[in-house]
Amino acid sequence: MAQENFVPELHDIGKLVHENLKERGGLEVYHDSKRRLWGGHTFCDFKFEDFNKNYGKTLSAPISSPSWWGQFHHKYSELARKKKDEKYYNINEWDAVPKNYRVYLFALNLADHLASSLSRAAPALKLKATSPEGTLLKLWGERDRGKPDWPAFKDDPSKSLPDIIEEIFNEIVSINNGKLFLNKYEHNLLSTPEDKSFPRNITSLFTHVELVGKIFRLLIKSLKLTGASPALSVEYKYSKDRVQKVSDAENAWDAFLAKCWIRFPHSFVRLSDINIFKIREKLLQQLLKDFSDEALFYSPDFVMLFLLPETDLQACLKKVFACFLNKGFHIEIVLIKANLGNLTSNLDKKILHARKDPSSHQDFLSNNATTSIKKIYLNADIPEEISPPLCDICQLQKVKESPKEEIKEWVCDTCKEIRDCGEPFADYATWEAEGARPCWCKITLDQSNLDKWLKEAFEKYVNEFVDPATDPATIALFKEEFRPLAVQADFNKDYIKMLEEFEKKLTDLYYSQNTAEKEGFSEKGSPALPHNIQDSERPEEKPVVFFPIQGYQELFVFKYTPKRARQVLNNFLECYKKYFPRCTEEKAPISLSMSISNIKYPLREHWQYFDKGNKLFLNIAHQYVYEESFTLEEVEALKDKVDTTPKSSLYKLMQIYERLGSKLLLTGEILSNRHKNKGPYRLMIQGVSPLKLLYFYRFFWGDEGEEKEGSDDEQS
Amino acid sequence: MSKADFLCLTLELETAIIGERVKGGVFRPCQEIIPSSTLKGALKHNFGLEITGAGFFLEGTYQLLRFTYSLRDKLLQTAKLPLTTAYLAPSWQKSGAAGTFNPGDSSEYIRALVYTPYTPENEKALSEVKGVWFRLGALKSRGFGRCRIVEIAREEEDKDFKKLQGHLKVKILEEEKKLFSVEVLSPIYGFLFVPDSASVGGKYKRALFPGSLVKAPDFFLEGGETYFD
Repeated sequence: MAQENFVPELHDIGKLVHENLKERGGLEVYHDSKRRLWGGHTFCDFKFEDFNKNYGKTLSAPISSPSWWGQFHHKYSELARKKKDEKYYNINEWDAVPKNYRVYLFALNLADHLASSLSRAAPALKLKATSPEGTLLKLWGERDRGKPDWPAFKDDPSKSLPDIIEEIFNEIVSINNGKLFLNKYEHNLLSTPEDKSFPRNITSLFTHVELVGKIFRLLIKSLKLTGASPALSVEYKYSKDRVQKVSDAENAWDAFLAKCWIRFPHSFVRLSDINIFKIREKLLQQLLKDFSDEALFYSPDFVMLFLLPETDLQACLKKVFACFLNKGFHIEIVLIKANLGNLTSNLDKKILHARKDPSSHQDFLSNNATTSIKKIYLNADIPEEISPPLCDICQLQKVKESPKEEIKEWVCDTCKEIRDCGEPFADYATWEAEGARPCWCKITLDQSNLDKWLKEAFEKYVNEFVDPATDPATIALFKEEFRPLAVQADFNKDYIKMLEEFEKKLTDLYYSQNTAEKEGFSEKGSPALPHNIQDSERPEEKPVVFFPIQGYQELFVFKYTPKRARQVLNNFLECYKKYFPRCTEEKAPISLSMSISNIKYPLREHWQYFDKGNKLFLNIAHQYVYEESFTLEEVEALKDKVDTTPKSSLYKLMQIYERLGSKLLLTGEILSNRHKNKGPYRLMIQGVSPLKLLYFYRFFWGDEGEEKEGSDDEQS
Repeated sequence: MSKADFLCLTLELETAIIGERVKGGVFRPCQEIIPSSTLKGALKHNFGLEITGAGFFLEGTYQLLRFTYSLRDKLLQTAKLPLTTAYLAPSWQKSGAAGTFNPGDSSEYIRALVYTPYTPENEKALSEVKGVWFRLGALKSRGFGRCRIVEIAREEEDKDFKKLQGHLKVKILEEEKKLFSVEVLSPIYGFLFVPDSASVGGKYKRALFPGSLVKAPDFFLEGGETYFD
């Protein structure tokens, strides 16, 4: 049987079956709703005889389908636990599985473990009565009871049980590739947790089976069954150790996770230099296509790779990223090498943290003695010296002088090619004539921050629902077994969905004429529309919010007015709270940065501001005037209080600070007016500094002259 | 292996424009570090000293401001297209809401630390020019870059500093890495301009840029020690 017909993604199809179907089977066949035709979520021990006898059917195990053997992925470990006999871990004891499929089952078990959100070593936990078992609870999502339409297969009075059961078995037989399964049952898989038991119910089954599929397809190419029964063993291309048990493979065989950030040294000189984002997006999509199994998940500037231990891994990585390096990008990689049992996406942080204080982490470090964490920068090869001139933009290649509009410029061929990809948006030039000020905005997901956030969120989740009588050492051990790979993949997917929805929200505002003009997002009288989106019914609309790079929603710009700034913020908050309602901590991984300046101000400087570390949820800058950062909590408090505080009093506070420059006097003014203007005082009590209040007010409500009467956004 | 030995020079600067070329003919950015080629050029030009050193500006002592000027067409006696340059100024010169000098949280001069390999000759030569005002960086003729060495301290490995693994925070020529006791683990490369002996032309030479993973004296590292393999 061809290997490509073994569909690893189908191994957990049983998790899409509602319990009521099992109850119905118990009632109809055994007249006892507590008895089951099959146990757990796999069908390997389905009671075909009882089923056929009761319904007069001839259903049998679809052994002709290679994917059927994926149903045995828990059988022998459960048998070993039940019978307390370790022999069942040995591949030679997997009698029910034909020999030629045993290596697939072996690889499936390895992949299943790697893609799980908790290690098998995690101890069982006692729960409080109110624990939310059985629903998918993303650490950043709402604590609701889940979607009622999650099961793909459930009791349906209009259908007979045999018909539903046969439907499930038909799927196992007929679905011959993973993508088909993922597409067909996307909604159900996204609504079902990988594991229904608390607190393992934090990853979607979709992400789990998708990761299992990718890792399986890579591993299976490097595994070979050798020997003859009872001395069958599995050989791994990258190890001299032949093994017979999955646990031995996990201890002896290594693989890599590579966290790859795509960076560039380019300095934006002209607007068209931001086409580099277009290039990056295009190259990233190509990489995801060419290395679809190696690339576990991604965001616009990051990709997580699963790699096997090739002889020259650095050369392999250079091959993976060759197209990027040719365009002037460099790749920052954290490469984690560990045995398959320990490999997890937060292992680098754990190891590096332990190495800071080795005496307190001796056990952990000795259990990870063969783990290695490397930092690698992949650069294009550059010569030892170059004679001038050097490219203005990338500063890595020699150029010839090329005058542009009577200005001398030095741009290399690669950077020129990037520039020539097209004009990000032509209307930007007209803003200068109008005296408009651009507000450049950047949404960022910090992957390093995300690692830390996920760990803390998981610990909080466990604390919320575990029985307080549980031994603290057990709880601590449980928390240590958290494996965030699949959870991180889910988070990144939600982030991309949030960006797409946010872009759509702002874009939709352009084309609803009444709404757009009312909300200040549109002006009459000009043709060009972003992204070549033509609206023939409303050609006179001229959008004032642009996403200059199609497909890249992190960067956008709008013609600044305080009202539009508020609109952008409100829309962003709406999208953010929809996808990440529990991501509210001070160091949340997602941030929005907004930077205003005059039109001639170099974009490079805006980008440098966006690129600076230590960002909070909202970061605002009026270049060379002020800069401030806010947590989500502060933003909510400020929005509420500033809106309800008389603007004249805020303006007065601003004038006091402008003229006297004293934070002390500012605080004194707020205190002395605390009865008249409670808003600023209450904010101060909450810990929001007066200066933050002023800058927030200034940016989002503006001072005199920012919003004139009869301005564009008020005209009909 | 012999231990590393450095001289730590504390510089006071009135203003500074370091390193970058004009972009698009209209804007010159400014760096916040002192590459090895910059100091070497300044000491050679002002004092005839062939001493290399790399360093950085101390946080809290500077801010980035802008200065607009234009070159003059001498033939037509008119100004050419205006150029804006970013420059470093002492932090007390606030351009924003506060315009006053608050002695508690700012300094009158920008301060920088520069490290140069120790030799008795270097120490003697630098001591002789200690306190002498000289110029560093770009637009010297317009008054930028006036600075002086105010302190010279010897720093010895294991006594005053340790060699640790970390991310480089300065720019040094690759050929000078041994001089600065830098062992490269994973580099980020760029180029630094090195003038020729006549200071007329020059070449760009490959350099180690900030962020490179190295083993180096702790004062050259950003963000503390790292523990990669």
